[in-house]
Amino acid sequence: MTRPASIRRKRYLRLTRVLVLLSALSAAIYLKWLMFDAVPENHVLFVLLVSAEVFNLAQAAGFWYTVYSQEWPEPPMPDFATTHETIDVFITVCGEPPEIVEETVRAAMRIRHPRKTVWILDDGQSLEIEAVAAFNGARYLTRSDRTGAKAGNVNNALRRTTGDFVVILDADHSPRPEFLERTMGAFRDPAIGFVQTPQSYRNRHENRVAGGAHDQLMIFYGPILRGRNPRDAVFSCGTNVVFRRDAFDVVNGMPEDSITEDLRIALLLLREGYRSVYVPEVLAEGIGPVDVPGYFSQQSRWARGGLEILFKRRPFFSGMRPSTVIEYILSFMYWFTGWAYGIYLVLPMAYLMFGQRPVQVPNQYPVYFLPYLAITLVTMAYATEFRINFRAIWFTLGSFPVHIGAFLSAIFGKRAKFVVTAKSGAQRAVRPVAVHLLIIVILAFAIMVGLLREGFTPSATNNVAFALGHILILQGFARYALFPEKEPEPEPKRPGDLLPPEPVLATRYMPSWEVEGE
Amino acid sequence: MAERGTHALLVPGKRLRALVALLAITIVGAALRLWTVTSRGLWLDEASQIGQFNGTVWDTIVSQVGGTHPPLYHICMHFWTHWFGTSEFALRSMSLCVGVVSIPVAYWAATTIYDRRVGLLTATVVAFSPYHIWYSQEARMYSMMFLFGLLSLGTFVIALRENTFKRWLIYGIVTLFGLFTQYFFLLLLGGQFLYYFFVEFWGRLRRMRAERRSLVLWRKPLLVFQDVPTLAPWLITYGILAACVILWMDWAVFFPAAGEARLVSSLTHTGLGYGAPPPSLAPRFNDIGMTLVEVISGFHAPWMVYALVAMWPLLIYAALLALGKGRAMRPESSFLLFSMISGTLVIWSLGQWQGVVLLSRYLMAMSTAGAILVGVMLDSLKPKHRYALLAVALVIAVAAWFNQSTDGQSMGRYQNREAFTYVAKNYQPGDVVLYEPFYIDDLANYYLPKDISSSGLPMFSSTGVFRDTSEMMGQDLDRIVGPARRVWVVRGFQNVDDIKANARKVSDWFASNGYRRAEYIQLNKVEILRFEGDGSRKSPFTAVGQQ
Repeated sequence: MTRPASIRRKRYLRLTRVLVLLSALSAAIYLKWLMFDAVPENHVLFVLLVSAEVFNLAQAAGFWYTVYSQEWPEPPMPDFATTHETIDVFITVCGEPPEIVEETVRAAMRIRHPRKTVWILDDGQSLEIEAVAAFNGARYLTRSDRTGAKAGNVNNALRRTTGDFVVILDADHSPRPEFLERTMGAFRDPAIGFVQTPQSYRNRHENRVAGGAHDQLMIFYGPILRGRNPRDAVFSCGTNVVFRRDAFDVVNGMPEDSITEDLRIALLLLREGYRSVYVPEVLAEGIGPVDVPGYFSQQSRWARGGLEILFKRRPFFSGMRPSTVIEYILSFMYWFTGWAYGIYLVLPMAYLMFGQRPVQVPNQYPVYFLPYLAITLVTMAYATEFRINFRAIWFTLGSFPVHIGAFLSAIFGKRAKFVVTAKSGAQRAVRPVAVHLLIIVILAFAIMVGLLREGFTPSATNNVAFALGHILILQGFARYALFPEKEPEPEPKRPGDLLPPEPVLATRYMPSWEVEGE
Repeated sequence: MAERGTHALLVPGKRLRALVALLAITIVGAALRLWTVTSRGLWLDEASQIGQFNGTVWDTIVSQVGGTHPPLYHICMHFWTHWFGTSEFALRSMSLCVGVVSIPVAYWAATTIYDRRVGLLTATVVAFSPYHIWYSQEARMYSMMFLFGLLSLGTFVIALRENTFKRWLIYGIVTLFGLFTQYFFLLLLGGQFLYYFFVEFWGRLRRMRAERRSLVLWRKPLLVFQDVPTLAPWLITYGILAACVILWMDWAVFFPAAGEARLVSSLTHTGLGYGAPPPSLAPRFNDIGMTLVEVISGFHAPWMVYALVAMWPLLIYAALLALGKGRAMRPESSFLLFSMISGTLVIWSLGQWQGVVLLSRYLMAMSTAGAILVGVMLDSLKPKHRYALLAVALVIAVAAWFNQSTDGQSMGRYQNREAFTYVAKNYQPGDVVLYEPFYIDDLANYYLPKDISSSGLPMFSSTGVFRDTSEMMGQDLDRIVGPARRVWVVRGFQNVDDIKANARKVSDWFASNGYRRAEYIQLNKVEILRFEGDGSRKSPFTAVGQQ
């Protein structure tokens, strides 16, 4: 017998809170030992270790704070026969393969709403895409230049359309028919500026990189966004989102001064008094990055865009709720993770190669550290409903060169350009993982030097274990980049049939929809 | 619980192949155990029980009443030693046989819970595990505890599936055997009980609560009895188990002949009765790590064990690798994991107060679930990864077995045999042989020839366990040593606080009585000292007699 969702959620939230409190207690004990009881040995390393640990603890505390109060909004289902609103569905395209776009268009045409219009916003000026639009009954818009990238593309469409609400979908994100039924009810509250739904990758089972990116997203689109819901801290993610046109008008459309226009507009709308809602139900599925360069490119854009907003666009304003401020600070903090991980990489190298370590009596360390870590992992596993896995973790940690690079370029570099993430054609690439390979070699060298220099002493083997762990984390990306997956054989097409009347691509993924939703 | 899987080895035609593989694994496991069974001498706990096997069975049982162990192993050993004698090999051969039988039983348990492939993998793990080999070569009850643990797990799962009196009765009998082999078996039973209680019993209660809402008031209380028929076999089995344990414990704790019950005092008394450090609340991370290292890799020299304990960060990565597996975990695996973790945590928690509990042998019952889970983990890998990992693990296991069997510095090795043999070889008429502490007399009697008499050194206590004073010790030494020119001292258990304190007192006494240290040999956990006097000393008792 299945218990009602509300009872399950109450139990989940209750136990999550207990775990959060236990985690906080263990973290306090560990921090107290590290800051006041541990005896520093090398002061530079000690400061680095404390900085990284304090950063991690702050992030963990942020996670606990976020998951402590979660909401699962289920907007009432509107009766579109009695309402009058008009909907524009924007599918933003910029060079994606027509097959992928067609699948999205077909899915968008099936969204249940009597007054919707599907628009393909093509920045690629492609005749094939125009044919896809015509063939499937969608409207087609293009422009002569690409100013403002995706934001410019949307703004161009906003000027030429009149719908009361605007759905934005990436070219590869196929919505479900009930997309609007599940989301539009939230707009009964006139203060709601937009409704965001989760991003999910349907190629997660076929491609390892997409799978890892999906696992990573599930944490964000799970407890994190559910926890940001009650704090008005949900931000638009650029796709699978419904905007109120009035809200667009107030902020003069999508901001074109950022490569993460989705995050930027969320903050601008918040400043104008609009609120946002996150509906935690997968209503559209897309295609994740299929190779490491594609994944890094996506991460780099998000990181750099986020950090540019932090450093150059004054994201915070007076009158912002403190809880909202905290949530946005936590969002920006994520992009500093690379620095903390970089410090953790340095510590075993420093000991194994030069005999330098941050604290004395290291065998006291696990007595305080392991309980904290164990409870934190249990909390994280439970809060994510056991969805978090090792791949999600090493995708986060292994992206450290990207995060550090984005940080440096956000401060010193040129203005970033919007780059569309490649969704097909995985390529072998060494350059994106050159840093990973170099560090793996250094760590292996350090292990050799350390063991030769010191023998199998506890201090040496302790650092060897840390170094091996880092190698385990870093080898993932190196392996994925050097040995990319072969794409599955394309289904045979009939001769001369550019756009087959049978919805080949759409039907390919239908069975999973039927199992999950219908 | 879910039905069994459908691996290829479930196909009847492949059953013979699986059995042949099992036979091969068992033969290799037996060879590894037999080859090195007497590579180390007896240690105190093995030797001290020999005296309990003399006399009748009743004498053996009574010797355990109020002791720290239940009697089943001792009863079996009583008969075993009567048939096969008390040589090192004979004493250990029962554990060895039980250890070898554990290999096919591990296969049976894992096959019952999962399937034949997991069974074969589990049998391989048990056959090659240095930890299990070690305890198959020790004349103590731990290999028997492991055997009953496997039987208990297997019969528990069958009883859960079939829920008949007969199945629960079989489970009850093997579990009772386990409980009467070693008290810490209770921890495995606790895991089973809690699993049943929370998963089966609680689930029924929840369903009942949902049904109650729709019932009229007078029928609600009746629902309490609704599930009694289905729960009855389980309730009765646990009732009988509890009754047996309570009756035995009542006898053991309050048996008049036992005096102060050692079972209770061993956990609460200062120094555990042999001068060990008194209980105190303190984090003992290294000891926890050592238990884990021993369970995984067996017994090795301290430097190696400490180096392995220091590799604890690998646990973090193991935990990270395990993240996300919970959703795909079968109920059987949850049960095994729960059984393993709950008992282990109890031992580790208890050990933060009573440090001597932090010994790997006390995790033996939980290692049954651990061995099967390792089999499950290997089974879940892709074939090429599975066999590669298995090959690497086997190479490491054989290397660890070789090292623990040959390394004289192994942490589990007490070189009492070597020490007493050396003394016997170099003994001259008129020499006095002393040993310390006095309670290793069973070892001295076992290894020294009958024509060499020996005495225990008096014990000066630093922890308050022993009541001797410096004066009493001096008088005793006067009496024991007499006018001897050469005095041998074999000293074991130097890690016990009282022995350290005593060693200083003894050396001082010899120095002040005209003896010099003529020889000193340090063996593993045993040291040999030979004192030589200048001949001027006369026995005070002789002097009194001459007057």
